[in-house]
Amino acid sequence: MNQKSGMVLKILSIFESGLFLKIFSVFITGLWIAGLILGNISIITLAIILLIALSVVLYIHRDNLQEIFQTDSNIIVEDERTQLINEKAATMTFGIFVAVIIYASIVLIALRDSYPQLSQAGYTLFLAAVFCFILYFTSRAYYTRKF
Amino acid sequence: MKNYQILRIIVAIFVGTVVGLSVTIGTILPAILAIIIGAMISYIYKKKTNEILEDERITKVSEKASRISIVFFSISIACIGMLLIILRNEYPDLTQAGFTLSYAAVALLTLYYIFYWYYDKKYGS
Repeated sequence: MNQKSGMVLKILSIFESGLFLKIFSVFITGLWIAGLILGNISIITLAIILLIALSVVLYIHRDNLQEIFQTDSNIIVEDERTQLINEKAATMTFGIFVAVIIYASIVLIALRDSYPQLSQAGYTLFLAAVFCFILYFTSRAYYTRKF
Repeated sequence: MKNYQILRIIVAIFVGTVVGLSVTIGTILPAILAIIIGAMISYIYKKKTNEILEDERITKVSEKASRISIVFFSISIACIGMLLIILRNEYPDLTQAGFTLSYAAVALLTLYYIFYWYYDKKYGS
């Protein structure tokens, strides 16, 4: 009995190993691409369900994610320098990108009489900019409270 | 810092109003002028003032907020764009929006990696 339950635990532990999770996420990416090429929503739905399942597993093990993904080596994934570069690059990218999509959307919406075929792109970019601002101000409020 | 914040709010209201009106009447020139004037006022005030406009804490908060926003934003627009392209047979009207979001995601990532490369060089790779 004990031997059997030990075997079951061993099999279950495979599903929580870093290698399995990596292969699983590659498989999900494959499903996304296949769905995109075939234009099939069922494949995408399957990919979303699997992604939610993967997120649940990662959330349960959120405290030891580093151990899960670094069992084979002692590579440091992100040091302070990389973090600094990431943050600086993100700040610059965010500023320029939001400014560009706002200007592009204003131009496309204002020119709706001359180029009506592009107005949907203009409204889409405008909504994307609003969404981006909401995300930014929410995370800014979070970090202001945190620090 | 307080004066600068008030100025920024006034400039934002001015630019927003002019751009809104410009979009409503369908002419681009007032919007461009308002944006240029707004940017110039902000720039001149920054250059002339002796006030401390931003401390280290605000810079850190805004950097962290930008990073997390970019991560969530890029994932969201890439997924929504892809979904809209996939649903091209069911909702052909939304295909343009899907392609716009996908191209925006590509542009965002390209811009990010250009800046990443730049800062990587700057802080010694």
